[in-house]
Amino acid sequence: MNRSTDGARPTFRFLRPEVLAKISSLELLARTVVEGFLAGLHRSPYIGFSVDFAEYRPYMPGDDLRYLDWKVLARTDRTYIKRFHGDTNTRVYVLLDVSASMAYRLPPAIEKREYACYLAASLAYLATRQNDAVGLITFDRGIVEYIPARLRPGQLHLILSALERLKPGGTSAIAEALRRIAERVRRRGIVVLLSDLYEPPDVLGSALRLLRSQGQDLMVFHILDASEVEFPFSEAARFVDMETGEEVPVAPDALGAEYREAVRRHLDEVERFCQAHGIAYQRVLTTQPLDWALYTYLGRRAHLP
Amino acid sequence: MSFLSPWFLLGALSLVIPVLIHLMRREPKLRIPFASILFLRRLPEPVHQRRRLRHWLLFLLRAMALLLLVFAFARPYLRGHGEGGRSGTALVLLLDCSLSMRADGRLARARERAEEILARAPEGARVGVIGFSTRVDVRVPLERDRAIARAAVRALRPTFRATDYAQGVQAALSLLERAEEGEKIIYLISDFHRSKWRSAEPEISLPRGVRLVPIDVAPEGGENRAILDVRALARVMMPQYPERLLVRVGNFHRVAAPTTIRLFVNDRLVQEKQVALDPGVVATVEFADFPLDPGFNRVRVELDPDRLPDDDRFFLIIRREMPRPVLVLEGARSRASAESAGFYVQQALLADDAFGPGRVLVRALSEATPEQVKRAEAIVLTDPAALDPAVEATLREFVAAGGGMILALGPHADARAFNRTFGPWLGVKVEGERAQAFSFLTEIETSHPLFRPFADPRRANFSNVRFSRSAKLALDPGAVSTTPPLVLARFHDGEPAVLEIARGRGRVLLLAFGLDAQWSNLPLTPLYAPLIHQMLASVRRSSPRPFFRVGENVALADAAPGRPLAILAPDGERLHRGGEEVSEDSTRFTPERIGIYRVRHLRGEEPIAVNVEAGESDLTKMEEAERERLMTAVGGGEGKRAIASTGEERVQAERQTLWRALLLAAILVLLSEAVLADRTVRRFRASLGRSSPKEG
Repeated sequence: MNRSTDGARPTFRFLRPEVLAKISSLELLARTVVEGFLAGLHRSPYIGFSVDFAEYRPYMPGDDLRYLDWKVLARTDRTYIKRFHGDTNTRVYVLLDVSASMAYRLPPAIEKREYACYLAASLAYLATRQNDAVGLITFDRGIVEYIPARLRPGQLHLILSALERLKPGGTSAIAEALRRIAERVRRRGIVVLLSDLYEPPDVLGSALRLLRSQGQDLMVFHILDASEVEFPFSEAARFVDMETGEEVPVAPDALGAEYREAVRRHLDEVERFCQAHGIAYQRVLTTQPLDWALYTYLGRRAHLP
Repeated sequence: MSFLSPWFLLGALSLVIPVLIHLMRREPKLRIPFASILFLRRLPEPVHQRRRLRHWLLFLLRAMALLLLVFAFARPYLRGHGEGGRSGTALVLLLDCSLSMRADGRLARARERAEEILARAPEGARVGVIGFSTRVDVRVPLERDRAIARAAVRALRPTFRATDYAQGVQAALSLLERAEEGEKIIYLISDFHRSKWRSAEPEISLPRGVRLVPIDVAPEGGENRAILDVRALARVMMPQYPERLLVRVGNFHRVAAPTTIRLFVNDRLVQEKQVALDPGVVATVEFADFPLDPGFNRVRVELDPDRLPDDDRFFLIIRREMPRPVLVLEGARSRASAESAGFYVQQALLADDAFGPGRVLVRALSEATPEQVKRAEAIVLTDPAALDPAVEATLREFVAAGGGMILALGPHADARAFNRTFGPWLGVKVEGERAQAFSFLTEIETSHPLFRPFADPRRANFSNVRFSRSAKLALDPGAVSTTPPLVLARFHDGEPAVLEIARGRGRVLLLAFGLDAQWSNLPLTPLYAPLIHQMLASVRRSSPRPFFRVGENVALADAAPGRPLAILAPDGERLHRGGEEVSEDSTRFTPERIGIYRVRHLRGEEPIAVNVEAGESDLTKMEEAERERLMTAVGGGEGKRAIASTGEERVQAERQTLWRALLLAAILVLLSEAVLADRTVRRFRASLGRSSPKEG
């Protein structure tokens, strides 16, 4: 693992998504991601977000000395590390877009759906590890699968199983789907949206505002393939919409710049909207390691009780 | 510039097809599944962008190649002055219709070429059509209506005549003389076989402003075999042909050509000979001792047929009959028969083997009968005296029908009777005797057939012939004759000695001296016998000919007296009076077909053999350089211009060879396009490798 200090926020190099794709078990994958991620956070200012004492355990070399219970050491002359329980009053809903467009990829990147799956599994694992009630909602133009957020044994397994059996969906209508989700998710919590957000910003914004108005703490992971942003094509081709099958003949060398500009405007508009409405927004390319997304999540989670 | 095949220009419309395909129908074959076309759809007019032609150079190269190909196939040619668009242009299509044009479909090609010229002729140009051989057939005088000219060209048929370029060109020039001012062109469409053009060379001279464009329609090679001529007797007496019948056979092949020559008599094959003719050789083949039937024998000589079969046959008519005698009539006999004029004439005639004993009949004028006169080949009348009116009338008829008579006014001639009987008819009177010692002949017309053999003074010296007396002749201008006598010789004092008088279709030779030795020493000189023979030959009815050639003028009265009832062509067609071949009065006809014509008379039917006109069998083509040289000579003062005319065909051909340059340019453009397209495709494939998503 490499650690970079480039920028205001540290970045960590975990396993590349395409390498993670070789791990067949989603649970193992999530553990690998999360544990590795957490292990790298030992200097993070965001630790200790739960203050409820859970248990002692013998000190092991490498444990942070700040968690060494000095009183016990003084009384018993033994080194114990204090462990705490996180709060369980936070509900985390992972909203996963499974529309057909999420199946897109430009090799060697993995599909956006796969990437979103890994990210969802990792978030669920992380949330479970933090004793948050985790739920999963998959959607395209409506809700495809709904797993209510719960904190109970087997919940993570349930979510991972649901993620593993995901099938490519149909056309997407995120705004419509979010409205329906808003009807189902009434209790406040964290709503993590994993989608490529192919909706006009005003339509998308109205749906996000609905969730936000319910008091949900929204996190948007805008998952994109790099080619969707960079549009590296050069030869004329018929571009087929993976959701509708509609085809548009395009001469990229003539229109590439205009496309990139249109995408950039769209992304900027979505980001500006999110910032304006207190929605955590993170643009994620499928070629990026998952830690960046997890970092965003934990940063957002730290502000919550 | 114009086009020979302008319909091919429609092919240029095909240029639109790739453009339409490119702009309307042709979609990119590459299909790229994409997450969403939300933003692609929002692009400004993406379709127009796609439709924009990107590989302009490639497109231009392809369009150029296509256009070049279209233009090449349209056969463009540059209009020169010869084709010019001036309405004053006059064109004469001079098509060779001679016998040689029958070979290898030459006339059909000539017609095609003529129609091509008609098609290219500028609007408003006047076009004339002439078919020529030794006969000129002006089918269309200068005419603006192309349809008429085209129909005339199509109606042209080959003849059996020989070629006469001079006559054809002269006829064309005559047409052009009547044309208004402007360009005048003669398109001479022929096979230009060498022999005929050579003979025409000195006779053709183009005036200023007229161009002669030779168009050669002969294929390469001019191989042909032909029977060129046959030497045969027209009349024989014996059941076997008494001499050798000579057949001249020409081999105009480049290789030796073995062939079989067959002789047919009355459609019976009587003899056959195998000959191997060396290339370029004219050989003589002999036939002899073949049987003949009494009367007319239809004789045919045949070769194995070749590319020009019409000159591989030769037709003859050989009559097997007794010859007619020469009738010598003596008006008065005052001396012993051995000294009479008849005796001298008989002896002179018998000196020639052709005259057997029965062929010279000497009779006293008083004993002559009309039947004897009618059966005679010629009549020699010495010392005329009073005549039986019937005999007199028969004599006149005999001469009028083409017979010949020699009238010798010797010492015993009855001048009064002569003046009464023959004077008005001949337009000559006898005014008595002249006695002049040692007179001799002067002013002899050696150009006349009678005296032609005596033109050389070393061989014939008439100064040795002395006349002591002679008849004094006076021309009678008031005679019924419209044809004045022709004085062929005079005595030294200018008095007429020998006169030729044409009467009807015959001739009378009037001598102012006798044929015996009383008034002159002529019978005692070596000139006597040949002079008698010459006189007889010059007056007697022409001998029948075994054959005629196409285009010859055949006098039907020569064959048989009186008008024919009918003339049947070799193919059985009955010829009409005043038609193409027969004269208005049916006394002459000009055969245009080969074979045996049949002339029907009251007394029976007479066959006439007709063969192709000579000189057309050597089909050897003239070399172009030689033709140009001759054209220079033809052009006369405008030699260079004539050369230019000669090259017109080549120039036109060069003008029409633009398609080659266009085709070459198209190939070069296509090669460039191939290179450029290859590079483009490589770039395209490379970009595909970069941009195509791969599943899995």
